[in-house]
Amino acid sequence: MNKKGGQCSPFSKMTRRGNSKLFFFIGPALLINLVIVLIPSVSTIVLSFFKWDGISKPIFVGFKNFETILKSSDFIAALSHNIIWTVVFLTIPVAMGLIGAELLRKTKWDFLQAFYFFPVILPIVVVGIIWGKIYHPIHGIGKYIGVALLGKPSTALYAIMFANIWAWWGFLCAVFYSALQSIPKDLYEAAVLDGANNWQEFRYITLPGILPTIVFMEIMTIIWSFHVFDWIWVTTQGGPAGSTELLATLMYKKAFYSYKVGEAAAIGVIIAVLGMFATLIYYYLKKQKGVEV
Amino acid sequence: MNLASKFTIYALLFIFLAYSIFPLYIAVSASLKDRRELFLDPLGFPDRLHFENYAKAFNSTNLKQAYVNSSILVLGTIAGVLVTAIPAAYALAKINFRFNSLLIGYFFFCTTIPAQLSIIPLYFMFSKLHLTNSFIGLILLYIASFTPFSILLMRSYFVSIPNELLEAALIDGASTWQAFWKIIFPVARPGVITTVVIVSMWSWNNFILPLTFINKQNLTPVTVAIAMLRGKWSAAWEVIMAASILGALPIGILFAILHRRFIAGLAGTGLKG
Repeated sequence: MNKKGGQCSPFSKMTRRGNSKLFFFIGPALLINLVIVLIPSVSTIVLSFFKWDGISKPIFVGFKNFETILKSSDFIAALSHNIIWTVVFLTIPVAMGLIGAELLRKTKWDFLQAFYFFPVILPIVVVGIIWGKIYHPIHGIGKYIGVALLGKPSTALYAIMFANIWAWWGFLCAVFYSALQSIPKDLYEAAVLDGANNWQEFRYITLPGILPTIVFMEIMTIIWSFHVFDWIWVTTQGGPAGSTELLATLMYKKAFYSYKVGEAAAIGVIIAVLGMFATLIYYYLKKQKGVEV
Repeated sequence: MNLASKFTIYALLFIFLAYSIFPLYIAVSASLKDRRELFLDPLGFPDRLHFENYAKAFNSTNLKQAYVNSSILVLGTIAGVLVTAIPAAYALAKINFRFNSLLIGYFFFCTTIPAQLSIIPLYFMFSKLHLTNSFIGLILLYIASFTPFSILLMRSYFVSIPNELLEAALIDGASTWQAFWKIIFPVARPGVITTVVIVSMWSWNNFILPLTFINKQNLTPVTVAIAMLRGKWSAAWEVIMAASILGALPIGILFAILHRRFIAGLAGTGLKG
């Protein structure tokens, strides 16, 4: 962190004067977080042990919701789609982002970064509809290739992933490019003098230089992959024949369409546990392998 | 570097650029065609520019009302986030207290938990409190969702302010408040602007929260209104495309002006919120 800053001694007297001022500073943010994030999240965990339709009195059922969920083919399908999704996003966009960042560094054409990043900031609803039009069997490329990519169970998930990668890799490219800036320029200069080629520069300077950032983004990718909702909802809503159902959309449908609130909460808990598992891997890597961020 | 590898590098950058721009070209060109042309030649360049599609998208749908609704939501959220996150970020950066690093860790943790984990109890809680179909309810949800990121982002700016600056002000007899507004705030302004830009984008773009908490048509924000259009105007892709572009336009313009802040705020932290 910044050497100049850090904790400020003149302000430490405030702790001695009691916590009233401190509470005034942090209280509002903490209070709203408590009521809208922490308490409902904990309630979801509690709800996952109850059978509830949202109206009548909840009945405690122990682990039964988890049992039902883990045995249902809907859940297994959604989980496997989510795993495919995670594996694809751990590799393809990360590779694209690395290539993009390295090439921007070499060419110094960093104005392109804004173009690559632009799809990232657009509303997913809007870009989802645009991709729906692109894939459309009559009004899009479907007319020419004779396949409705979003309408076929075997292609729909991949078509949505292709669209989502479009709106995602530019983010990774910018993250890696920004991390690259901290690699000393003379390392590259020395490598060029020693006759290193493009690949060697990338392999032996860039890659180790931004490895902590790559690890961090991979972990975040695992977490985020299990949250994907908007992309599915605006393109296929999980169809055709459940072929694009993900855990988040399945949970949403269970809670708000089939009123199986307890089962939906159980899926929510599973999503969160998978995310925490990824976080644990991260802390393990940080502690054991010395990957620093 | 030899010519072949130089060519490969620029070709790759160009392919990436084409990938980024192509869908936007499809949307813009479709939004300017009439229906017949859209049917005959869905992907080509428009013959004549039919700007009336935009008028139609704006006037014969509820997009106009949705624009007003989204603007209220964005402004309310920005105000709420600034009021709660600036003091918190300041305290976490400059005040030494017991749970300081624990709270920073907690807010980081919050950026990684999904809306899905809290949305079910929240829905029932908000229904009971009559906060569904309410801008105040939705703004509260947005504030809670976006403050953890905003606190972490602004804290990183506050931390870099030299303590000497603060000490000097305090020796001159300034109160904590005065020190904050006169010294810290002006220096941290870039961080605050970045936060405002990103929070604007997130609250304009959000979909799952209004989808769940708003079901009155006159209260829907732009994202939900556009998603609804497809049902009603399913044959009129030119109108849907025009509406989609109008829906993304405010954020697109903001990005055109302030893309450095977007990139610094999101890519600099590696967090998506």
